[in-house]
Amino acid sequence: MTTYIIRRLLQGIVVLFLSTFMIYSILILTPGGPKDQVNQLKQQAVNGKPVNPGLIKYYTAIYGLDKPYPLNYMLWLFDPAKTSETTYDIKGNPTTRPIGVDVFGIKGSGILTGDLGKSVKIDLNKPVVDLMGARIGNTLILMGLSTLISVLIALPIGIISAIRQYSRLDYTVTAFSFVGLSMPTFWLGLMLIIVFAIVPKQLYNQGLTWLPFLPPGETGDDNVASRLYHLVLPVMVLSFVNVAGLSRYVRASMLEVLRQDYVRTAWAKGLQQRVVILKHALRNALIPVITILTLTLPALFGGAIITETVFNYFGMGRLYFQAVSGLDIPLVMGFLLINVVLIIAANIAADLLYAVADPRIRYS
Amino acid sequence: MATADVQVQERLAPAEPSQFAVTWKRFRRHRLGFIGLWSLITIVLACIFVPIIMQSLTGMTYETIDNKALLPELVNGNITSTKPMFYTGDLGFHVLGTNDVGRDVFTRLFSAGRISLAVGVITTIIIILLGGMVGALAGFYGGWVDTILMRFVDLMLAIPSLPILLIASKMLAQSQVMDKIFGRGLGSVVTIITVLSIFGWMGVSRLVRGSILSLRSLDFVEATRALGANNRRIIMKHLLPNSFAPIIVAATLGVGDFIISESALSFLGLGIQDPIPSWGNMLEGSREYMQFITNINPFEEIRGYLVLFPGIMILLTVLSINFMGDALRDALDPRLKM
Repeated sequence: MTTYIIRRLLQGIVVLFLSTFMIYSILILTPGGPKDQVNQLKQQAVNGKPVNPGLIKYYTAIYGLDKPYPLNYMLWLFDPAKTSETTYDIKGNPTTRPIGVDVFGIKGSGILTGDLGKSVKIDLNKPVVDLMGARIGNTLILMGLSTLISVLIALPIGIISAIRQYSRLDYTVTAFSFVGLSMPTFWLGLMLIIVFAIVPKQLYNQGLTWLPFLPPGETGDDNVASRLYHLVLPVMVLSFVNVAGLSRYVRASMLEVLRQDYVRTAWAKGLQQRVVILKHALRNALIPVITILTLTLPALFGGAIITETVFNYFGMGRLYFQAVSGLDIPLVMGFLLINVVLIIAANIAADLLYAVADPRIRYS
Repeated sequence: MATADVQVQERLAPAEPSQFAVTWKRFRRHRLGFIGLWSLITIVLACIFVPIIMQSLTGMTYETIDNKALLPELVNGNITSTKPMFYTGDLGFHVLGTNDVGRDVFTRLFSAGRISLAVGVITTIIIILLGGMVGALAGFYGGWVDTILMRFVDLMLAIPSLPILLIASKMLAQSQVMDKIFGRGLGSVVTIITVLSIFGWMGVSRLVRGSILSLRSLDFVEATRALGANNRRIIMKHLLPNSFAPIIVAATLGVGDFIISESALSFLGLGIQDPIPSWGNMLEGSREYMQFITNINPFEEIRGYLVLFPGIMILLTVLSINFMGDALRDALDPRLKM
């Protein structure tokens, strides 16, 4: 088992480097990326001189465009030559200050030193880590709450509809989950805003009869109750979609288990239904569900881009959308990097948990 | 005499039903799938013919602006003019009214359907070809070809999909490469198809590889090889047709997924651009007037209700496709007794 874990971790690190290389290449080489930005700036010239030489130098330095392509990925990871940072004002005059690490005499800076760079558009020169740090709490609350609620709803629904397969309830649940899987989340969000916020607010405009759809703080009172109150609608959207997918999964997994011999044995022994279902069947049915839940962990940090944008929620997803709209490549890169790390980690964790939860599975 | 009778009887005996007939019979028993099929056919026909009919009746296309129907300016959320806003046209041809720039919503709704369906179908065809090719090569040749291709698939799958779709389509739209080749409106359609296909083929390739791997060791492949068929013929004529069932299911469900992805990107403003309509960008355009949905006087309202239709169309289309895909999965699975 230990050798298996070590092997998976090493593989994970290799995959991590390769996939960040791929993301870096996509971001740098796709037309419309930093290269084109710089070229466009160079073309905006008056009398043969660029209008904004400072910005050209700034972008070139930030994206390492003065270096050949595969090399600038390496330097983006770790650049031993870059121990100081130079910023340019609009005329191109530099100011310099030291950055990076100094460990055992190895000096340098880059992603490997934990420096994700600085925002170039949204919040100029603010470290990406700080920008994300301000949002991560909100996103964790939103995603954690909606995941928790959807698990609490989806588990019983899935179990009951598996036990009573082909009953009316089962058909209802199946139909519901199809609607959930086919639902465009942004439209669901808009509909919920109309039904629970706009209509009640305009028809019965008094107190708490309507649910807010803008982020907390708009009305001035920023306490826990108010925050929770503002979370209701986005959590509803996310839970609806999650429940649809998860309950289907629980149902399928439970059906699979209920067909097994040992469940029939349990019935034959004359055990109570509660014991058969909860103790013999459910425990095994949950194993694949645990895997699925582990694989959704990266989304907890990444946030829900669409839902957060619809509700103007102050989270990672909306930050990412803003970064994309402003082509703030360092921010985009930082977000993708964290997500890739989490996806790879979640994959390894899912495999390991699978072995822990199911003693029949042995890795060697 | 007797032998001739037997021969005639043999000829009259019911032939073994074809694979298609069996599948169709099983498909029809899946009630929701059958409903899905018919509603999808209805939607597709409507998307093809409604814009043609509307154009021949009124001369309006999806980009014709009816100047009489222009929406009053919104300043800080307040209406600055009191002109009647539910403008149905001189002959009442704007069945669902017009949008904020005076284009007919009914026509646009179905023109948008053309675009959304076309994006879904074309992208699916591309990913089936691309993913099928990669999967078939990896599964058939095995060894280092398999290792390299499948590790590449793993890498692509480790990249979070919606975020990379967003940034890729933003950059491509920014660079205007497609706009220069295909024109401004069509360029955005081509851009979105490109982006969706580049980041969407991995699932299919895994599927095809798995099914080729299980077929490769079967006797009939050996027999074909003994008859002198080359690799290309074995893959194209024998292996791929036999792994057809999971591909067709994945393709059906894929169309629905791509319609949702396309409309999500268009909704966020990174997909199809005006004046080409898509259900996503129609939603985006009507979103800011959503707050007027409670104004129920039809002649003094801003079109708050416009936000309803594109979403309903997306939901109906994708729901039909998903029902169909589910029915196909059941119908094509020989292990499942129906």
